[in-house]
Amino acid sequence: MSVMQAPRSPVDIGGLEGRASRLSLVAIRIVLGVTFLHEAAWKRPPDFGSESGRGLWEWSNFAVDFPVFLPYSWFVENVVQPNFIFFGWVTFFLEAGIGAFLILGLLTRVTALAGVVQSFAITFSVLNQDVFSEWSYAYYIMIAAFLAVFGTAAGRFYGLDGVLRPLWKRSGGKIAQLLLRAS
Amino acid sequence: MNALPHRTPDEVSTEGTVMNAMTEPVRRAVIVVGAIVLIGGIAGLIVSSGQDLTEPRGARVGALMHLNPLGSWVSIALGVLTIVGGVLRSHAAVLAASVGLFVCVVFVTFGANRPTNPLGGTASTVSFYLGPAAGLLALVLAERAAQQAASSSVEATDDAAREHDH
Repeated sequence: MSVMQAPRSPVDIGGLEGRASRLSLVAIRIVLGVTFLHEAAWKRPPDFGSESGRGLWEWSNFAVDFPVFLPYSWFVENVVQPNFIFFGWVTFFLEAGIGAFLILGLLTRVTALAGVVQSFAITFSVLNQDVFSEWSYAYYIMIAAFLAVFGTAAGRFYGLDGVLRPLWKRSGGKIAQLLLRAS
Repeated sequence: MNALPHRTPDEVSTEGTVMNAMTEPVRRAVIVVGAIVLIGGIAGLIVSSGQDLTEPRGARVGALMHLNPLGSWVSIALGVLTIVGGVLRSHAAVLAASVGLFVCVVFVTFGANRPTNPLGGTASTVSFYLGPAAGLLALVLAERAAQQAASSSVEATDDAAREHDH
């Protein structure tokens, strides 16, 4: 009696097909990382545009002026705006961190989840605004791409996670277990 | 008959030396990360050639981050230190480069968009320094932790062998 083998994922197989699958994921991961590295530049401390009414202040206010998802608009108006400098710094480090970690493939899964959250925040802020010309599908593609990076753990191919995970497995310990999950 | 391996002090010492070395995958990763920092610094030096050494708003490197000449030279120095650390398999050199990159993160974070911004960076530059800083630190700490775990396991085996002998 023959034993049926479970089908293998394209990223797990060798040869040209496996390599093409892995390189595609690396491309998605790096392009997402570079996008966030690039976009971090206009999050300008220390006021993040709150004095001039431009920059991050203007864009986050779109959530209130042009609501997409009412609970998020309420959150921006009642929580973000009164504590805007704090949320400015959160955005500064979140976007800089997403760019930094995705490019190198470090803690890729948790970084991709942070990317999904941030992409939803951006989508809920800007989708209905008519001040700047935006292509709404760009945000859906961004969310889908982050989910693909999360689901495939894309940092394990040509990324630091691929080097670090065997070391974390060998070292054991609670922190190493946590890092294994995050990668 | 003793079923457990019994090591002489010399054997333990030899193994300890091997376990403290940088493994090949980590060495390769360190060199690649160092090359990214070095290339970023060289590109920064080219695009910021007309600027003052500590221009607060550095020149744009491609469509990526901003660096002034000082920021570019610091990146080049840290990139070279990282690569040398990888080539020589020196954890200390790689750790020093990581600390240097974290210092750059702090300088750019508190300098960005202000009149005194010694490296001329923005949040994108924070991203450029933060990845290699965290990556190099993770590589060195993870490798040391793995080696320590292996070393503890060897010692436990040796202790068990000694007790078995007695």
